[in-house]
Amino acid sequence: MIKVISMGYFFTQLARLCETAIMSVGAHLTIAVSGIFFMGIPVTFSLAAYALVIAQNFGLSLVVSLIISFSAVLIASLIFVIAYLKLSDDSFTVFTLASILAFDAAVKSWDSLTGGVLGIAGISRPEFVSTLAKLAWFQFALAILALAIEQVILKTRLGRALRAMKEDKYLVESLGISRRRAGATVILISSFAAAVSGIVSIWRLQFLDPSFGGIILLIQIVTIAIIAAKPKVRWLAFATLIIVLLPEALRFLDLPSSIVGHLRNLFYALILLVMIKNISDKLLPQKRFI
Amino acid sequence: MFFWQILLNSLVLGTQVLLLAVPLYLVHSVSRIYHLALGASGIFTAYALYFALSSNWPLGLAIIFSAVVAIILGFISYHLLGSSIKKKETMPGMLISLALGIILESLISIIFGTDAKSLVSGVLPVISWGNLYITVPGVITLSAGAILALLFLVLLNKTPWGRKLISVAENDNLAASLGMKAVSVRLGVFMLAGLLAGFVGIITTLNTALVPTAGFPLVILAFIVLLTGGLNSFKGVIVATYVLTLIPEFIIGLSGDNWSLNASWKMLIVFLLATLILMCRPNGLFISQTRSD
Amino acid sequence: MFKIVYLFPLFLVLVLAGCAHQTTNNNSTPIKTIKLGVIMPLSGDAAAYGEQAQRVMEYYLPQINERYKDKNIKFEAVYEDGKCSGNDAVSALQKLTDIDGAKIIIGGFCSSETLAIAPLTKDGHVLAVSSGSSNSAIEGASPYLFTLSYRDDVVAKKLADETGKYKTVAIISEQNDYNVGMRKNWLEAMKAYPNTKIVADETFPKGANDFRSILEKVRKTNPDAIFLNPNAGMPSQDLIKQLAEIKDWNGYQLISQYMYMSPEILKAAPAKSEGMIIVDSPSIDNPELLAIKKDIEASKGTLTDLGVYYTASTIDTLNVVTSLIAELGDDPKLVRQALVTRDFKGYISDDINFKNSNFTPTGAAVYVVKNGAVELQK
Repeated sequence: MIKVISMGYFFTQLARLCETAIMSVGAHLTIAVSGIFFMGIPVTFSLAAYALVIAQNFGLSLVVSLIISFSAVLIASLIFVIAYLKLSDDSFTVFTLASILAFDAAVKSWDSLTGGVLGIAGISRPEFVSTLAKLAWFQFALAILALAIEQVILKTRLGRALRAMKEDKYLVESLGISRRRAGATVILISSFAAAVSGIVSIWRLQFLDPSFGGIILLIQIVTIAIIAAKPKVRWLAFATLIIVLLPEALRFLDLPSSIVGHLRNLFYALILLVMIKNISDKLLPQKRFI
Repeated sequence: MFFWQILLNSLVLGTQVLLLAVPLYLVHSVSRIYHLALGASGIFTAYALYFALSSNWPLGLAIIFSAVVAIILGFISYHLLGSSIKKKETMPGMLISLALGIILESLISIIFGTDAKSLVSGVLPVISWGNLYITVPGVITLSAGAILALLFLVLLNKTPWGRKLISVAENDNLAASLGMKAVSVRLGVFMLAGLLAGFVGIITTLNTALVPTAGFPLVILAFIVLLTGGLNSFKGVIVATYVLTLIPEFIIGLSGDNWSLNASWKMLIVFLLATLILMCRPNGLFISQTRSD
Repeated sequence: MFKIVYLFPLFLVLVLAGCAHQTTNNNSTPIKTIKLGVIMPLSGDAAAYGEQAQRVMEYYLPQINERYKDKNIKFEAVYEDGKCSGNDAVSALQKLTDIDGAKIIIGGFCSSETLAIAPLTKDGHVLAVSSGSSNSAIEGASPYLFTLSYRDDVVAKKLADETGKYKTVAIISEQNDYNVGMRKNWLEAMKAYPNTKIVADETFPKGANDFRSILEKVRKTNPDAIFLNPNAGMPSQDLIKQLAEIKDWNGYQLISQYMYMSPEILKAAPAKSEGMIIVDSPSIDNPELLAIKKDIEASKGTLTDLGVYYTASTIDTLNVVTSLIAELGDDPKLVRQALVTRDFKGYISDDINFKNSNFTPTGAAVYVVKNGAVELQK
């Protein structure tokens, strides 16, 4: 009989769900909706967190630190946009994938600023989200807002342009839609969403080290984007629920704790494999016949 | 002497990357898929050898066993990627391959644990010329790299086999009507790539250590090299390999005094170099002219 | 349809979470089970330490339970894998406190684990006692955090005493929490030896395994002594093996920290490691402890990587923590109060106390490798 449901655990899972949902909005718009395989989301996720924490460690106020954090992410995303505009699609994917490793190397090596491998502990939460419960509800509100924004984007000219780009990237140009502008916009939106997610994640964890972000995070959000292949927000919400909450079930199985982490990675990869094999045609443009 | 030793060490490291870039290039040539699981596949094969040796199997049997494992992995990879190849779906294929790589790494970690292992105990035998030295696995790496590079350079560009590979990738229906079986060509290449990746996995871990995650950084580097060199230029892949491995090694190796750079900056230097090359030549160092309808 | 689908996974997890907290209604159960949360690296590069510490705990905990049987107390260790990573340690702590209800934590083992969970202990809802974390940043990190390990800065000072004997010295470090901390402390301690020049300060990424170019770079500077500062496992083995490959480079003294206390690692290059100076925890030759260690190794498996000191500190941590809980209950505030006011006896020392520090007072010892074995020098 259930005697106690741990509220701490509930709020932690709610927070994780919301953080992932916010970040996945960006992945969904780039990978699933517009077919741009932008893999740099973990970079902007981590960069936002590091920039915020470092700025605060220099004694700057929360507002100023947030401005610095978003400015840093803006610069990084502009670099990604330039790469998108100049490189071929395949090269852009590789560039963004490699940026994760490069960022990791930079963070670990520049230890005077970032704390290196030891990371930065004792990150304080802002007053308005001082408890886990408050933070979780705040993140919930942000997640709802992010999903609502995506819903609006999908209904606008930009959303239609993104979907058209995936169908035929050359034809959209002849219809007067700037593929470059649409692609650049969605990369910026994606980076911003990842930044917001990174900042609220770090308020929950209160600890930051180079393992924050990285390839495993990329796999998680790519899996979500692939499962939510349709340009519909409810598919994204559903995919996020499945990917974040189902591996938690592993905790309750009596497995050696040394393999739980590897089983979780195995689970993500298997889901990704199965989903792509089964719905890969939905990833590509729907062929219409006239 | 210091310069030449750094050069020799860097050549060995670069050749390890080239040995993985070769199967990556072959698979891409025949299927247009970036087979990112090759790194993990190579490490899986090395673990198969480790398992056989630590179970006291004879060396010959252990090598045959690991070769069979490598070929089976190639077979499995082909069948997983088959539909993506047929539909020419580059990105979904890459994601399937990435997922397969993670599955292999996770399986190795669960079965063998994540602590590093060694295929050879004790100090590696070295060959010296004056003040220069190189380990025996290093010699094998350099020799294998040189042989494979030359062999495939000739095979791909000068032989009917190479032309068959490329024609199957471009138009498999037309290739079939000319009597070339796309399925058997591709399957053969995937199994060969698996074998080559297994060889790389073993030779790399002979020179250093065996860890489940050793494959991924190597394949990412090989992937960067492939794109930087030019997707349809094997010559470009060879040149890009050594540009992207030697230059960072030299920058780090030759730095000193007030501006000494640690090895931990290496990946960042590689990234910046690749970015520079791709910004100047977005399609790679060596672009081959292709027809477009 | 979609609403049900959305809610089902969440409902499933909440039900499972509740089931994990299920308590029995059976009033006849006399024994109170107290959960001790344990955070240690059970996977990853430092897994050897975590697994071996787990062996010590699994061996010793039944004896402790036997000791407190009359008080109707039973201790149950709940293990979580910290992976020697701050992020994973924080998740592990949250799981131990939120799901398992543990209020007293043994861990982390790695300094990165302990430093990461330190802020989460500050409010006094949970108390953590580590048996293996040595980073000096633990000092002052939290009033509810203690460690029975020796201190890195004490070891670093001793290392500096050894390296300070030479005119030129090079250091090669791994980019890992322990080694980065050790390097920082050593550089600080070396300021007391202005006549010794640090001619090379090389760092390699965590888990790297090809050091040949780094070794050439260090060789170029021609140091009189080389301080090897890698982490446990293959990096320490590979480093000494690859050093041994350079046959025409000799005439330098090798100095290192406790990673090279392991005979397995020394076996990798016995000729090169001969004469190596190692600075480590104080030597413990308590016959009772050595007998326990031997017994654990016979029944559970090797403790080679954990070594004598950390075997002792793990047992002492268990003894101290369980004795206080048995007396005062698993109230973090009461246990903390006792820790900072009392003295304890143990295998690591007859004077274990936290009166002035998050660390118990310890020293460091100097060893030398002779004929493949490590001998205490002074």
